[in-house]
Order: sequence, then structure tokens, then C-alpha cells
Amino acid sequence: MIMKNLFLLFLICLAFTSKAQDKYTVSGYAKDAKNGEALIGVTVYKKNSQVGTSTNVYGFYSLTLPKGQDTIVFSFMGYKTIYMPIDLISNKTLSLEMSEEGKELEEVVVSSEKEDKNIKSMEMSVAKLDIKQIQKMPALLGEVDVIKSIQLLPGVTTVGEGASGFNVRGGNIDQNLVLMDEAPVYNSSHLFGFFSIFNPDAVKDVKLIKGGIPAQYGGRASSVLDIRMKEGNSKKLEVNGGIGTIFSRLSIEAPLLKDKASFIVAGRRSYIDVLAKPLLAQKQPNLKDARFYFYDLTAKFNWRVNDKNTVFASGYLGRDVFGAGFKFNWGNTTATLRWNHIFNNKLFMNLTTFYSNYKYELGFKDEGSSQKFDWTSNIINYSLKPDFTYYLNSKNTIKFGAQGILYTFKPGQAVITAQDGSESNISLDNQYGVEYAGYIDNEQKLTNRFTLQYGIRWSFFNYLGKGTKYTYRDTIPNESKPLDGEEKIAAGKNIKTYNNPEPRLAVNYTINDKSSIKLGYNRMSQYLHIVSNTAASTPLDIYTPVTNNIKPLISDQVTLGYFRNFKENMFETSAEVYYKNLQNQLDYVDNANLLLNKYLEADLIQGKGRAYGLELYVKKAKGKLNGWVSYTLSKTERQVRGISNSEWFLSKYDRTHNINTVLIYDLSKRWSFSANFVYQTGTPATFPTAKVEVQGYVIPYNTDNKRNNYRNTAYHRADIGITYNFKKNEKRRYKQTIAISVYNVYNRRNAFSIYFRNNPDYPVNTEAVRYSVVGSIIPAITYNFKY
Amino acid sequence: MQTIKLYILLFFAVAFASCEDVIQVKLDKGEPMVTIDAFVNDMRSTQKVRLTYTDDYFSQKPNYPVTGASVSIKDLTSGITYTFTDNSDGNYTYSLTPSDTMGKVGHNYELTVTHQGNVYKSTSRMNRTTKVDSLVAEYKEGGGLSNAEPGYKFAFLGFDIPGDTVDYYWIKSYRNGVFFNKGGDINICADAAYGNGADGFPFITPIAKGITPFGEVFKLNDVCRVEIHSINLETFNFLTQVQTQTTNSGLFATSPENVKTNIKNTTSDKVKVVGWFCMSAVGFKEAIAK
Repeated sequence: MIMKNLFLLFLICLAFTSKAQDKYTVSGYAKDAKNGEALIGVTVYKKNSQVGTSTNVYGFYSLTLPKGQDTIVFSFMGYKTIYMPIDLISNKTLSLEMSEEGKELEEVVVSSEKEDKNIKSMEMSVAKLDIKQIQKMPALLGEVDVIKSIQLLPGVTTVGEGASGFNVRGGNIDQNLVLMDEAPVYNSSHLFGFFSIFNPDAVKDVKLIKGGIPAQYGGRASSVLDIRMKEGNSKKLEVNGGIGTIFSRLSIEAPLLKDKASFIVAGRRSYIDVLAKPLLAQKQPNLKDARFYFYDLTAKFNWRVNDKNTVFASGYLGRDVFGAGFKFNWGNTTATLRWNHIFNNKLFMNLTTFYSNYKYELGFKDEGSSQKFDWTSNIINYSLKPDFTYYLNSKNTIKFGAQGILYTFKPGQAVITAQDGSESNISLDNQYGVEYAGYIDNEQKLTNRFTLQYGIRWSFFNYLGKGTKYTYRDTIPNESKPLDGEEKIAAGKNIKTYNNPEPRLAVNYTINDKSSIKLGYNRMSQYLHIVSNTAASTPLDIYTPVTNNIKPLISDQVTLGYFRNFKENMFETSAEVYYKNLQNQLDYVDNANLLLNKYLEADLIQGKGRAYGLELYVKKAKGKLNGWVSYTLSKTERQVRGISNSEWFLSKYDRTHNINTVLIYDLSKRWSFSANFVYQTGTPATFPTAKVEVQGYVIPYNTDNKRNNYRNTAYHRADIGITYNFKKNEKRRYKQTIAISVYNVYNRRNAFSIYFRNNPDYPVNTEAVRYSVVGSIIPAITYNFKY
Repeated sequence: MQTIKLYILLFFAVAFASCEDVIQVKLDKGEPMVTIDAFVNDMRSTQKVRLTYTDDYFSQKPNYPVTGASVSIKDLTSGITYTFTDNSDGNYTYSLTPSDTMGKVGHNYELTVTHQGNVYKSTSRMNRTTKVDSLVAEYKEGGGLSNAEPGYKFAFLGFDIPGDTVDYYWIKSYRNGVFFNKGGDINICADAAYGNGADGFPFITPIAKGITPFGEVFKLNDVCRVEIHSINLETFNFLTQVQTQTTNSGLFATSPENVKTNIKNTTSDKVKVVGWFCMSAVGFKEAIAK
């Protein structure tokens, strides 16, 4: 019924649109003249008018204009603006290449052209990071890191250094849809949370959407991190590489058919183990066989078959390997195949199919006997996703599409082998599910000042056999639920179905060329949950689909923002407020057993969440000195029956104040300096109010039974970076840079956590211990080259 | 798991200079609560139930004793009540004679503690236990990750009792009569391993070697004593919680939580109580390091 009404509304809205009279469509691709990479987000508009569009993630645009002579303007930050005169007497294909502004290091000439995109576009609560900018920012151990840069944006927090993932506006880390070329990534970290898995040499575009999320995205409750990889230079051979403190990197890109087909292959590997090996062999002979390294490999191939068809194949393989008498490995594998097809110059399609597999292994082997323990866990996805964009006319752009995902969860394949070689299999059942969704969304210019984007996504999830359906009785809150029954379900048979309509809305009211007000609302639903009760998520954390016992996560978010640019768009500022409501967030009963537990659902409870805040942001987008300052004031709370006396309590990633400053100063062609400063209120923590003695153990105890009743000390840190570009040797085409970074300049010991223990030497004495992940200044030097 | 944690810590320590330091924290003072520590077994020796008040976390002395209470354990199967004597130091004791009838596998027991008008009660079944077949000592040069001194590392040999029910054991070890009492050293298992699937197996290596805690050694002629206490699932969970809550540090610490209690105040909901009651059968063995 709701669907029908919404559809009617949709039709009515379309009816308002003026009928096309003698109009023709110009469409095509915008590419980088230097390397043939598609340019994302180029503004394409009719000169001296409000009529315009921008290129999509594949560099495609379509613009419908009245018949006659006109000039179309292509404008993109950092690139020379192109004025293209056209005579429209029929539909026209116009693809072009744009060149970077040559004098990139000198003061950029400010043109009054459409650099006010942040004011005019529908997007709000969106942060785009330019990979070139990320590369200039100081980084931990000099390793350029996409996720770490994201954490410097307003509204984004983390539980601490070294923690995997990030939290957006009060959402848990599993509520971020992290997409690498449209395929979801389940664990975005190497070495727990220290480095992200995205090789900066292969990343083209990074976009974080925190609110007003359009209908084309779904499946996660809080945010979308859309990462696009480079296609590979289609003009000439390009080699990028570097030697850093942690990784050595190498990427090769080259045309296969000039301007038609190209590829990129990029790899990284850590090499501490190689350096440490001789030292370990000498000092710690029992560790000489220790393995600890991580690597990733990104490969992509694209072929522009003809004007109407382009295909892309991309793949990613990453692994972390640890071992020494045990093994502990994890990593993602993704493979994506995409087809861009232009039906006509108004209808664009991208068809994606992907495979994604997140796997971890844990094992122990006893030397000198056959005793061992092996455990592997996977999440495997197959998906098909057609997305269409229909550029109806200059006032309406309609997006529609669908997605189907087939999930296989393997929570644990575990085998114990005894001394006599006999095996005992304690594996858990696999879990299966299908998620499918359809969406339609229209961006409509009502007047020159008023733009609406409205849409709906309808998502479904079927929890399927083969498996066991468990039913539980709900008795005492915060205690493992007693089992009521078990039922074997045949393969493919439906166990439980959920569906959720997800309305989306965005409104832009442009006050004038310099300022606008935007409003956004989105409902999102999520059919899988990460199962993790540790402070930082571990690579061992499993994901569970929604089941007959676990409900889907649903979030509603309203965002209101005011955007204003100053000094000819030199400064972009924004103020946004948000309120987010979350239903069915996962929590855990006390002493929950989350691993290899077939009655896991008995230990899971679900509760409510709410998050609200204010985000202020000032960005200097141009000039020798650029960067941003942001301030977030926020609160994130949860309420779960049976936990913390069933009252609202602060979530573990609540940070009241959050200040981020990023400054980059391009002194000359050779030298570039950068600095970060971060200040965050300490994370909430549960501290004891008493000690209990049982069997000689001294146990911390909270007599009020309140969770997160204290806070850790505030987190603050400053980093600096210097980049030196060597003089370019014209003959050799070499470009070399040296980047020096100093992380935690003033040597602050930020508390990741404070815990309580008995003094190891005087067990009767109890004490509080501050654990700092980074306990000193960390300098690093990285050498990069480009050919 | 402990070893993995250690390797991870080592890695961080090397790579990031991660560090821990003792700091001053101001904590609220909770209302004192009665704690009942009642782990009673079938060994023919003095059995003890200890009653204390909880104290401020940072009070640098043992918790205050609860005196003047009455403590008894009733064998619900046979109907006999065993009364414990108040030693006026928080300990309430009962000495088992070799011919005593207390402590029978398969019997159900009820603990009753009466204090200041509150009657605290709990029940526990005494489960079967297995025996320690033998103890083996191996001389190690020392050093390594734990930077241990050179000395003997003991391991024990034993088998889980096969059968349909999961047997839970708490393996307690002592050096020269002193119990290894660090929370991180709690050595508990389900059948011969940590989860299902090891029914009737010999105890797996981490459990067998766990009687010599990480970083500890036995010197020549030191006595190693190992006791296998039968426990139940609830006690297994309780001890897991004790282990977690006393070693809850680092990147992957869990949300601190209060340990559970299986003792109820039957007279008032207002007066809270904390503690645990468990009846165990014990199999044990001793050996000298040489």
C-alpha cells in the first residue's frame, strides 16, 4: 500500500516537469588528458545558467538543452575549465579530456566558475578526499592511509589508535558500507587497525556519505565509504613505487590499446619480518620461524569496447599472516566485473557482479606431537547489481536499479586433532541468506533555487537453510536465553523473511550563489551484524546474518545543514546538525561466548540507540595553504534491557568534543609541509567501585552495576610531515619524493584504555594502569618514485 | 589464546612503542556488600567458607572479614547438615575426618549463610572428577618471551571421563604448597579442551602445560601439586568471568562486567550479595622437580 502511494506521488512529481520541446541531449565522458582516467564529479553546465549536471563515477554525463547554439562549460577543481561551443540540432556525443592546471603549485587563479558545487549539489554530509591531498598529510609511520584520513573528518570517531574501522555519527563499525569498486569489504584493516587495506597508489577517489544517503546505496545503517580505484593509465606506461617504514609498494599501469584499454597492478608488502629475521634467530631462537607480514594486491583492467560499452574487471587480495607455533591469518578477496552500457544518450547503465570473501584462520600445533587445532571462518558474497541513470530532462535525473546478494556465512570450521591422530569436528553450521532490493530515485529541480531528491529503496532478506533453526525462551534480561527447540531446515528452505521500505529525501534550497540550506532524511536497514564485544574489533570477529532470533538493524537519520562559501569560494564552510535513531543494535549478555558457539543467538540481545550532534567545518580549498578545521559536538547512547540497569548509557565510541585540524602548505615546487592536530574527549569506560575477593582472586566490581560510568582521559595528538620533491630529471622521466613524518610530535601517552589489576609484585595492592597503544614519538621516512 | 595475546603485545611493543604505566584514578566508593566464597571439596582436610565485605577498589589491604554469621551445608540427598565453625577472622571451617560422610559425588548440597537477619542460600551438585595419571617435568634453559629463569616446567597427564555429559574441570596447581593465584593463570576446561568435541581425550597441551603458569618455573626439589576439581557449567562460566575481569587489558579488552553470583538473599531483595558456591570432587598428585 505504502509502495503504491509512493509510486503515485512519484508520478505526480514527474508530471510537474515541463514537457520537453525541441530539446536535444549532449552526453559523453570526461577524462584526464594525462592518463585517460575517468574524472568523477566534473561539473558540466550551460554557460550563464543554472542548467547543469556532473559526471558520474564512470565519468559519464548527459545534459538536455534547448535547440540552438550554446556554450557548454566543463569545470573541475585543479583542471583547466573548458568552454565548448556547440550547435545543437540533434542529439550529440561529446567526450573530452581535461588537463590539469599547469601551475599547480603557484597560487591558483580563482575563476568565478562553478566551484560552488558544495552549495549547489544535493549532497550533504558528504566528504570527498582527494588522494593527492591524503598523500600530503602526515601519516602514522609514513604510510598514506585512506581510513586514517577519514577519521580526521567531522562526525567520524574511533575507539582509539590501532582500532579497526571507524564510527560515523554514532554508528558501529559494521554500519559502514565500505565499497571498493562496488564490492563490500568486511575488514578494512591490516595489523588489527593500524593500516588500511587500500593501496594509495591504486586509489582514485574517496567519498564518505554520512547522511542524506541516496536510494542507490543500502545494506548498512550509518554511512557509505565509496572508494574507486584507478583504471590504469591508458596513455603511457606509469610506474609508482615507494619504500616506507612498513610497506614497500609497487604499481604498474599501462595501456593495452591506446585510449581503449589499460590495466593497473599494484602490490604492497610489509617487510619488518625480513629485517627482524636475523635478529630473532640470534636473540630468540624459539621465534626464528615466526611469520608476521601483510600484503595486498590490487589489479584492474578496463576496455572501452566502443562508444556505448565499457567493461571493467577488478580484483583485490589482501592477507595478514601471523604465526609462531600458531597461525593467525586473515584477509579479504574481492573480484568485480562491471559493464557500462549507454542505451541512448539519456540512459546509462552499470551492471556489476561481484564476489567477496573475507576469511580468517586460527590454528595451534603442538611441536613433536600430532595434537592440533584448526579453525577457519568465512563470509562469502555473490552479487548482481544493475544500476540505471535516466537523464530525463534538464530538470529530472532518475536513478533506478536493483541488487541481489547471496550470502554464505561460515562461522567456524574447526577440527581438533588428538595425540593419537583422532579428529574431532566441532564446526558450526553454515548460514545462508539472500538480500535483494530495488530502488528508484529522482533528482528534481523545482525552481532555480529549490532542488529535491526523493526516492525509495525496498529491501528484503531471506534467512535460508540448510541449517538449524533454534528457538529460545526470553527469561531473565542479560542472561543467556534457555533453548526451547532445534529444528533442522532443508537446503534453500526459508527460515525467516524480513523486508523494509527505506524512504530517502534530500532538499536543497539555494539562498544565493554563496549559501544554501539542505535537509536530508534517510532510513537504512542492515541484515547482518558484527559480533564483537571487545573494545577494538578483532580480525576474529564473526558476522551473523539476521535470523529468526536476531532482527535487522534499522536507522533513521535527519540532517539539517547550512552551507556557505566565502571569498570567491576560497573558503567552504558548513554547519550541520543530525539526529539518528537506531533499532535492534546488537549487545551481549554478561560473559557471552561469541566464538564457536552454536547457541550464539542465546547470548545476543538487541537494544535501542540514539545519536545526535553538531558538526562545524571550515575548509580552505585553494591556495598554497589549504586544509580544514572541524569541530563536532555529539552524544551517542544505547539502551539495552538488562544492561546498566536498563538505563541509557554512553556507547563505547561516544566522544563529546572532537576537533580536527589538517593544514597543508605548499611552499614551493620542491617543498610541502603538513600538520594535523586532533583533540577528542576520552572514550567512556566502566570503572570499579569495589573489590571482591574470591578464592584468592581480587576482582574489580561495580556495585551500581552501571556501564561506562567514567571516561578515559582526553585524546590529543599532533603530527607533522614534510615532503621534498627532487628536481625532475627531464631525460629520465623520473620523479622522486622523500616524505618525512613525525607522528605524536609532543610525545603524548594517550590512554586507549585504563584497566585495573593487582600489582604483579605485591598482589595485595590494587592499581589502575593506563594502556597506550602509541607511547612515544614515531618518526618515519618514506621514499617514493614515479616513472 | 594467552600466547597469541602475548605475541600481539610483543609486536605492538616493538612496532609502536606501546606502553603501560600506573596512573592515579579517582573512583567512587561503593556500598560494602557481603561476599561469600564457598568452594568446598571432598578432600579429607579442613574445608573453608570465607565471608568478607567488599571494599573500595584501591584500599590497599585485604577485605574486612564478616564475623558472627552462621554457615552450614546440607546434603540434600542424605539429609545430613554439616555446620561450619566461626573462626572470627572471616573463615568458617569444617574439618573432615577420614570416615566423614560429607562430599559424595552425585549428591546435591545446599549452602545456608545467616548474617544480620539475612539468609543467603545456594545449591550445588558434586560432579565426578578424573585422576591425575602422572606428572612430568622438563628442564628449560629459560629466556624466551617470558624471560623466565632456568628451571623445570611441569605438565600433567590425564584423561577426560568419556560419557554423554560434558565434564568441567578446574585444574589448580601449587608450588611448594602455594597456589598459583593470578587471574590469568586460571586453568579450566570442558572435557579435555575448551569447548565441545574432546570427550574422553587426553587433556590438550595448553591445559596439560598450564599447570606451570607462563613465566614461572620449578627449581630443583620444588614440589608441584596438581588437583583436578570437578565443577559445573555455571562455575566454569564464573571462573571464565573471573579470568576475564582480572586480565581485561589491551586493544581487545571486553566491556568490564560484574562477576555473576549463584547465591541468593532469600529474605530481602534490597541487601545484595556476591560470591559463589561450588562443591567439587578432587583428583590430585604431587611430584618433586628433579
